[in-house]
Amino acid sequence: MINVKKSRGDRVVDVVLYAAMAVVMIITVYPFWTQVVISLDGGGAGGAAYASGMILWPKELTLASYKLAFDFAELWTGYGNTILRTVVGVLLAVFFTALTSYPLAKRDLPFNGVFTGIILFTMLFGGGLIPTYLLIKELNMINTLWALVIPGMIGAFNVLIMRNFFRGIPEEIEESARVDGAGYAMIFFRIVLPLSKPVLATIALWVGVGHWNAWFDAMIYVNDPGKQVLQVILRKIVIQNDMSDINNVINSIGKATAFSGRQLQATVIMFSIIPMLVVYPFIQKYFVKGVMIGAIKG
Amino acid sequence: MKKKGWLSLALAIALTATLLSACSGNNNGGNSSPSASPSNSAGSSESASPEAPMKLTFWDLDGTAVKSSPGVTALQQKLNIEVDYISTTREAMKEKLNLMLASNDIPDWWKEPSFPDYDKLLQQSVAAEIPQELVEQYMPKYVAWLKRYLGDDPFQYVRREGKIYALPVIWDIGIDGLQLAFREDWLKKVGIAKTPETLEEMEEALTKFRNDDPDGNGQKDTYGITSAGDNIESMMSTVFGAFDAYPNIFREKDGKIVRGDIEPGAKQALEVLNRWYKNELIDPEFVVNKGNNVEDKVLGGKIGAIEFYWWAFLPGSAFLGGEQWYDKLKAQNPNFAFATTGGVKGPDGNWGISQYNPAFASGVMFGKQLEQDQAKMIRYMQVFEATQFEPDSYEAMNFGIEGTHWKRSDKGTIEFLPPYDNEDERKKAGIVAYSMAGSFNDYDFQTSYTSDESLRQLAKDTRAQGSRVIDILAPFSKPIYNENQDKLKQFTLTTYIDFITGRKSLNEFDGFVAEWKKMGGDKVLEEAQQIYDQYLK
Amino acid sequence: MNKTASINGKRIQSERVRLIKRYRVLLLMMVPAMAYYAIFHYAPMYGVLLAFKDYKLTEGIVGSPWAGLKHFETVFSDSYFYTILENTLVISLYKLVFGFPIPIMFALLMSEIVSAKYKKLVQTVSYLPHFMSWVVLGGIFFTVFSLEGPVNSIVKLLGGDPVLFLADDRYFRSILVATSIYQGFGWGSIIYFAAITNIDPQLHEAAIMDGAGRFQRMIRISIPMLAPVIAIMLILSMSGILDAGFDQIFNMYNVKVYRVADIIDTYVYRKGLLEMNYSYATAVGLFKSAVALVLIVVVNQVVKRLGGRDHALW
Repeated sequence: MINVKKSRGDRVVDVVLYAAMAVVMIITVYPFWTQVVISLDGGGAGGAAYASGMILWPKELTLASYKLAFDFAELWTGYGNTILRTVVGVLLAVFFTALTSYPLAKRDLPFNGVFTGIILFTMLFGGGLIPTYLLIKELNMINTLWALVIPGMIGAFNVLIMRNFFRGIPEEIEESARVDGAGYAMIFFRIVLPLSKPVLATIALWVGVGHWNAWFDAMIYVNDPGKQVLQVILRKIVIQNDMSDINNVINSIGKATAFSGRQLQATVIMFSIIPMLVVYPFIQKYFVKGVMIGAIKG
Repeated sequence: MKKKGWLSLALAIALTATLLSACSGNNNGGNSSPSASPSNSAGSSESASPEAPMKLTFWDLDGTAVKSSPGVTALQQKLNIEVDYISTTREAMKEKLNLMLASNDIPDWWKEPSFPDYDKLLQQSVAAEIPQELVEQYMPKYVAWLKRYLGDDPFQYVRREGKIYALPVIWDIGIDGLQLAFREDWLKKVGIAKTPETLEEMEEALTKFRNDDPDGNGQKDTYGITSAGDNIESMMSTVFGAFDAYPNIFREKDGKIVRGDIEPGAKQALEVLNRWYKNELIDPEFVVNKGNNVEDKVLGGKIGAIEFYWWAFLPGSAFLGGEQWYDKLKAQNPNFAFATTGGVKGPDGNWGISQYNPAFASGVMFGKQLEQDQAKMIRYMQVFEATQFEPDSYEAMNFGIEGTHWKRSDKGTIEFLPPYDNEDERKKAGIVAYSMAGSFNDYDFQTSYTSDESLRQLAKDTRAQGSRVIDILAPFSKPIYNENQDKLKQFTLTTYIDFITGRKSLNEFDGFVAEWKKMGGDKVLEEAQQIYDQYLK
Repeated sequence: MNKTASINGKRIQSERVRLIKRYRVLLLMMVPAMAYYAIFHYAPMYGVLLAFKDYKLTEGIVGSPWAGLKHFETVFSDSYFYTILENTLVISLYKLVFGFPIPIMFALLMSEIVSAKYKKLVQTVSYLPHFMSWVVLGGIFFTVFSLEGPVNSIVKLLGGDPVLFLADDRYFRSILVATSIYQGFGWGSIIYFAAITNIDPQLHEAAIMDGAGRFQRMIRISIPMLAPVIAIMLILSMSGILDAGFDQIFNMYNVKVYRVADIIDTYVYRKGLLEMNYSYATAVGLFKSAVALVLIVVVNQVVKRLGGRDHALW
């Protein structure tokens, strides 16, 4: 990399840029921060949960709300099931989406238009909940992991994005491999995929977050409490502690604090987001510059 | 090189093949739909030996269903049943029910479809007819409870052509739940000695709340009253009640159905509200407030008067338990108190607040297959009666065994005995509040466990203040109303807000009434009158 | 003439056969996807028939009686429908015009940050609003735009009178757009960021040697290299043109702004509250899909003309 001396103008721009980004960070972190504060605040009368005006800092720190969630037995099975579903879901989705997108990247592939049309059509039109449910039932997939990871596996949107990325890979690379006798499968696995880390990571991220946050399909397809996913359990925690419902109130006898619905909701958000924040840096490294250089020169 | 390529591809296809076969094959877990199929029910009851327990299925909506809890165990023994659960959440229950019905997986029972849905389900022929005599025989306490609130013929709303298809459900505290409260500490601070009883007295209080710094912080940041902006019937209903005109509900006057939105009393109420708004007595953000904004403002100490459930105005231990508004405000402010009233009197002595018709939904319906299996239907009825109305079973289900897990405290509430006063221990023992029926809540009965004896009279007296003004046509099927209700409601709400904020002059009220009638209101009233004449006269 | 045609025909045919032979592995790769789409997307598609039937639960979708275009008539004869359609389109377009460029600009600016750590930090933080539900965000913006809130404080400082923004139909749509951008710009920039990492650094190096400044490099290199991704994201965003953001609007709207903010989905939701009418909802859904289809085709053609075949969807 050529070492570029930065002009004074460039340095000023840098400073402005860094400052601007700092402002952006402050305003984008604010909503998340309010939830952190509310989840931790033990101040009287629900504390931060009822403050009108901007929320900045907890008046009293308490972990009671977290303890409640932690104690919820199903929470841990929920995590387990969600992690399972996310991992399996991402692997399946990324693999099959790539597998589908690569052939379509060849403009002269026979029936390319037909395939694309078939796929695109599904992005706009669908049968709806009832026929899909009936289908899942027919296939004996109710209450199984497959009902959660297969229906959305190859998303049209993702296919098209990947396809266009694959099209951006210089033809010379593939040509030289073909000259060396490599078949397309070989090229796909050994050359194209490794060069496509950024788009694979992007799709993995989108699909992964989708699975992590999914709740409606689990609510419909999963019957056993032991197989239920995190988001559904989190919703149950919030509802179960809703003090305007007598069924819950009875069980609150003996509880030291009654939680404001707001506080629990904030805590529950933490349980959902923090794992994602922890995992994300590991995905970041796939968004690496210069992946192409090695391929061209090498 | 080429061979390797083929290998990878073959692997990919093999993977696909296994996946697809995994789908179609019956996997681990497979379909564990526990609803009783006809063969199941026919087999297990009569023809099997009398000892075999009957399999019953219940809904687990909150994740609290535990098979090993003392309550469930006792129940299974008492009634000779075996219990199983379908897990879902409250939000999804309606969706899940529809899907199960669509896939011909009719559950044994389900709860509380709205009245329009009730009629739809009847058309689909998925529900079993329920013989009234069976209910009266096996659920006596339940029927008695219904009669307390619905009168002598509690099945009237679910009866269709002489037959009953649901066990009626009611929200019994809805009929007089809403009341008006003033901050008593503020009243004292601004020099008002008694709780306002008339509209003028209320106006005086609100004016002082706004202008005389009742919270003593030197800033003019308090308002007299606020409300949410999305529902007309709960928007400062007290004022409308003072003129005997309640918007958005159907009432009867001298045999005629009236709708508060267009009654002359509404205009008078709007005049008052307009004046209040001009004088800044009403929180100007009321138009955008949603329920939780209102709560924020009240608990944040910005509001002097508010309409809400009376039990929120008393300590939690007086009725439902938990921490109510009273407790939260008291924690901030030791001098705090609420002064409650059922309403303030208008010039003609009218008063009241719009309440909820206790028959808010149809009830518990049984799946058609139970028509052929009356023994099972009876068994379910017995479970519902026991767990919701009989002290033994109710206590076992919710608290555990008396003497082992809990005892009555000297306040009359439930006190858990160590080590069960620790929540983890209770969880381990399977003691979690779970309602098998998820419905049929007799609040008088249930709050006898959660309320302090010393406060029960207070609760009773407070509750007695409430007016019982309800929409008398709520339980009836009104197709024309359903079609027009969103439009009419929007129109009334926007126009009322314009009247209150002064954007429109109240001289245009008559024009509003004419317009309301023209846009469907007339047809709605006609239909309503027909229904009233047919059912309630 | 005929001879040439048939010869050309044969040429095309043999060309196709040749390509099939050459690409047979690739065609095999398409098999799983086609099976997947056939089973999970096309098999259930008979569900759209719901829009043309009077659905009877026990008779299923296929067995229910035909209702012809009745439900569509209900939809279109509702005079209010045109208001909500207008709102939906206006809000969507508004969001598109202002919201579409922002993630791109953000990604470009981010790529200019030298410190990898700082870049990662800013990126991660920028994703956070995306994960906040509109229940939470709605509550926060209520405070932000309230009469005593920060925005009005600034208005007062500048000498103006406080405005209840959320109840004002002059400002509400703008607030919807701004807050929507706020929620999505960070997450939406991921794809562009991925595309930027794919730009050959040599291009930049060459430009630097030619004396190009940062800004010039951004305009002359980065943006053109992003054009394909931008084009496809633009076309694909047409599929959601009639969605306009139910969650957001539902949590932030109130009666005073219905006239400008009520969209198709919020209206259908309210209608469905009293009666779950699957047929009506399906009819509306079909209408939305049809419009989206038309728009995608149109925008695709436009992109083809402007940018060439390369950037279009097909």
